[in-house]
Order: sequence, then C-alpha cells, then structure tokens
Amino acid sequence: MQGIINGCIRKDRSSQYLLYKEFYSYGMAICRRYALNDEDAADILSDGFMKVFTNIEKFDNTKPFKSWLGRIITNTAIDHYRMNLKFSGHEDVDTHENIGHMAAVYDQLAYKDLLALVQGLSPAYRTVFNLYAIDGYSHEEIAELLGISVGTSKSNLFKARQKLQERLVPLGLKNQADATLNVNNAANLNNRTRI
Amino acid sequence: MGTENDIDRLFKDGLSDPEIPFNEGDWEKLSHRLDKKKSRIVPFWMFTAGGIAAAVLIFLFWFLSVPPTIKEKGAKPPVMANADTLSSDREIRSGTDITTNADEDRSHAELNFRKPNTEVAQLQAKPLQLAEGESPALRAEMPVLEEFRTLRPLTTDIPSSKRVEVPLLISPFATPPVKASSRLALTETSESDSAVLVRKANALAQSKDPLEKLGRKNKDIERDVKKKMEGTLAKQNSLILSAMAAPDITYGQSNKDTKISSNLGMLATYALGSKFSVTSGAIYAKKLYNSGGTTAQAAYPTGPATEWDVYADCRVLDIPVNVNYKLLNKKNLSVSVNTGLSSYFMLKEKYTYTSYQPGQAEQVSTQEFTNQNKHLFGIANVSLSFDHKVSQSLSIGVQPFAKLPLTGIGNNDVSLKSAGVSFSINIGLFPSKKPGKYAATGFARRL
Repeated sequence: MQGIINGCIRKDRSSQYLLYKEFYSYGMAICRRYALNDEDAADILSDGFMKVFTNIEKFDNTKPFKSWLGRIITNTAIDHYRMNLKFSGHEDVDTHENIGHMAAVYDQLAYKDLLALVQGLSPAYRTVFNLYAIDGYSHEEIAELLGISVGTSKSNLFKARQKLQERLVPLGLKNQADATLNVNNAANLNNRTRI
Repeated sequence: MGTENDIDRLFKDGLSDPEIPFNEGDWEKLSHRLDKKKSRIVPFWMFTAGGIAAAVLIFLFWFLSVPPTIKEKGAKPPVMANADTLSSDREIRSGTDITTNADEDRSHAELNFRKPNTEVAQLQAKPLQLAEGESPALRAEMPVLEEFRTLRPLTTDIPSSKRVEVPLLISPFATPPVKASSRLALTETSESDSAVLVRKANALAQSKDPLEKLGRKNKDIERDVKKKMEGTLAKQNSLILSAMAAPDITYGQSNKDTKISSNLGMLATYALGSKFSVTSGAIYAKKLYNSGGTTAQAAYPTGPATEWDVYADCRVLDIPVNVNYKLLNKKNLSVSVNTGLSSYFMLKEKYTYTSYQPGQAEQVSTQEFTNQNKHLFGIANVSLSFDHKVSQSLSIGVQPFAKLPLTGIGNNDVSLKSAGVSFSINIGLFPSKKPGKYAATGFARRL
C-alpha cells in the first residue's frame, strides 16, 4: 500500500488507479449514505478522491490510510450537503415512497432497503443521522461541522429516527429489526453483503 | 437497549462495508478530471505571472512617467542667490559672456513670459541678503539691485522680438568693461549709482533677457542634474516583457499528417547593449505530431509491425534562452536575429500507436507519460524577429522561427522539429530616454 501511496504522491496515474480501485467500494458506501442517489454519490466520491490525490502528500503514514480517506470523503459529503442546502427541501421522502416496491424488485432487502430509507430522509436529517448513528460523531462535532446548534443536531437526529421508524413499519422491517440485525451480522461475518 | 439505539444499530450494521462493484466509468471520469486539473496548472501559472507582470508594468509606468524631482529643499531660486546674481551682473557689465544661443533665448523668453510676475514677486517679497564674507563693495551694490528690481517688470513684459531694438543708453560715466573674474578689481571700481543704473539698463537691453544670468546659474544645475540622470539611467538596462502566441508545425522523423501545434508564453528580454539582448521565459506548447514507418520499432509495445504510425499529443513546457542581435533599428521598426537553446519539459505525452500487419486487423494502443522526460538545452532555436514600435514602450512583433532538436525528444527519442511564426506584444519596462534632454526638460519645467 505504501508503494501505491508513494506512486500517488508522484502523480503516477497507474498508482492512482490502483488506490481508487482498492477503496472504491469503501468510499462509495460512505457517499451513498450521504447522497440523495447513486449519481450524487458518484459525484461526491469523485470529488473526494480528487482531494485525496491532491493532498496525499499530507497523509501521515503512521496512521491508517483507510480512516484518513474515509474522513476526507465524509467531509466532502458534508461539503456537498452545505452546497446543496439551499436547493434542497426539508422533506424528500416523497421520492422514495416506493421503497418497499424497489426493494422487492431488486431483491436486495438488507443493504438496498436501508440505503433507500436513509436516502429518503431530508438532507439535514440524513446528514445528522449518518454522522451520529453511523460515523460516530458527537452532537458537538456535528454542530461544528454543519454550523448548527447542538440542540438542532439533537432535534434532527430525533426526527430522523422518527422518520425511519415510521417507514420501517409499513415495510415490516421494524418488526424484523432483530432478524435483520442477525442477518447483517451473519453477512458481515461471511465477508460482505452483496448487492 | 432502547428503540432508538436499535434503529441506529440496524442502519449502522446494515450499511457498513457493503461490497460495491467497481465501476470503470467512474474511474474514467475521475481520470479525465485529473487530466484537466493538470492542464490547468500551466495556464493558471501563466495568468498569475501575467497579472504580476501587469502590476509591475503599471507601477513602473506610473513611476517613470513622473519627472525626476530636483530637491529644492531650502534652496533659493537662483535670482535670490544675491551674491551669485551680483557676480552675474559683473559678467553682464564686462560684456564678456552674454550668450546669444537662439534656443536658450527662446526658452528664456518663454520663461520670461510665463513667470515674470512670479520672479518679480519673489524679488520683492524676499529681502536680498548677502552671504557671509562678502566684501563691503558687494554690499555697496545692493541699492543698484534695488533699482534693477524696479526695472525688471518693464523689460520682462517686452516681447523678446522687440527687445533687441531697445537702444543702448549712453552714459558719460560708464567705465570700461571689467573682467568678470577680477572680483577684487570690481570691488575697487567706483561708480555712481546712476552710472551703474544706466549700465545695468544697457546690459539688460542688450542681453534681451534679464534672466539670462539666472539661466547661466540654471545651466550649471542642469549640467549636474544631467550628469546624475545619465548616470542613473545608464544603469537601467531595458527590460521588455513579451506575451507571445505561436502556431507551428511540429514533425518527427517521417511526417504523415500535418497538424497545427500551438504555443503560448511569456518572455522577458534584457538588453545588454544597443545591439545585443538576451531573452528567456516560459512557453507552454501543445505539440501534435505523427510519424510512421514500415519497420518494427522497439518502442512499439504491441510487437513487430510491418507498418506503423504514431500520433503524439504532447504538452511541453519550453524554457528558451536566446541571444538576440539587432540587425536594423529604424524609428519604428527593428529587425533582430535570434539564436539560443531551449529546454523541453515534457509535462504529458500521449502516444497512439497504430500498426498494420498484412492479413490482420489494425491494432491500436496508447501510451501515456506524465512528467517523465525533460531535455535540458536539447533544442536549438533560430528566429528572425520584426518589431514594430507602437509607442515608446509598446511594440508588436512577428517572429518566424525554427526549433531543431539536438537530442531525441520525448519517450521515443523522436527528432522533433518545429517551425512556425510567433506573434508577440512587447512592453518595455524601462523605455529608452534621452537622459540629457529629459533632465533638462524636467528641470526647465520647474523654473
């Protein structure tokens, strides 16, 4: 990995390609959670890797590269959130009302359903939920990152959970929460959940 | 564990680390963006350099357009230096040094008409003072100056063309001319006030210009200033900044197709003398060329080919160092022959190889190299430049040129030649001046 990173520092295209390929799945997974759809996620990922490639010489190689890259991509996603904030409504769930149907079509219930539910949240709820529930940020950190108050962060998290809960019930997923957890855990143990 | 935490965990576990298939299209888009970013680097640098150059130009134009100031801090106008004035009066009296230079007369006549009242006002406003150590005889002349002062407005109001016609006043008390250098003798002459007055009047009428003596004083100062200006300006060799654009044709060993390459750059020319100058700078070049052959090439990656060609698209940073010799330098046109060496920094090379083998479909492959090759002084430059002067500091130039390889260029060591015509806008940072004239004019403007 260090050789690939060194190649990226030299702006060697083949090294950049290898790095991109290696962390594509990891980075795209982050981007999809923060984005409204896959297209936006691809844009965020592209921006994130541009930052990675242009700042890779700043990477401290005593620390895990994956965490550094994840942080950059998360920050890029937040930048997108900030940029698109004025164009976004507070509720975008209407575009995802057929979550259950889509899930049924693609038969990829676990990851796709959950992703669609998160993407169905408004940008403000989605961002706070992602940062707090999945990426482990505190409300203070979220408040600073997003330029909101701690109270707003807590409120958005509460409402995000509420929305998710409401949407889990008709899908029947809420009742299967424990089962899903077990399935996911098992899937994680058996390598990764395939789409 | 509450409901909320269950939801958090459900999503955290469900969304963490999925395996998303790699999408080659996403990489292509990113790769394209990385290419664009690289290609933006040089223009941005050039724009920055251009902005700095423009700022420097504006500053220098402003700075150089202000005439040099002669510090008059505490200095009295020449007429007020009464001791010198008296000395000058002695020269008038002696009649030995009344200059009749037409130009000086004209300039002083102008001065007289411009500023007579000012001069008189100065005379009247400021009491004449003798310097320490002046002889009593000089002090004795003070009343004469008082009378002289009263005469001046009359004479200065007379047009210069008519002044010569003023008849000399004849005084029976007039004494023979005294050598101006004989200061002691002068002090020993004894004249009545009226005799001195008449002689003064005659001298004034004859000299056409009562301030001529001031001019003599001024001339000394002018000479000093001129020397200083010449000394100062002589150190300021001309520096010319040029923005150039040049289409050219670049070709390798065996050119099969002709494409126009382009060059954009900023150059600086430093004059080493009236004939020689050196030029350097940075030129960003997009070189498109191709070559072909029928023999197998070692550099060809897909194996032997009976017939092949390669299309190259190279981005090159060209750093020339040229010496220029001015063949012709007319008023608005100068012609120079220029020669020197260029260093090529191959920022990006993209080669598309096509091979044709009998009985087989053509094979195409590409190779890309980024910042892989540089050729220090690997190109010889020859050019002839024609510059048309638009203004003192601005000129436009046309320069047919050729660039000949001294070494193999690029990843495949191609004998890369270029020929084209460069068009440039040149701005002189230190416009050539005639220091003496400039100094004199600047000084006269202040009188």
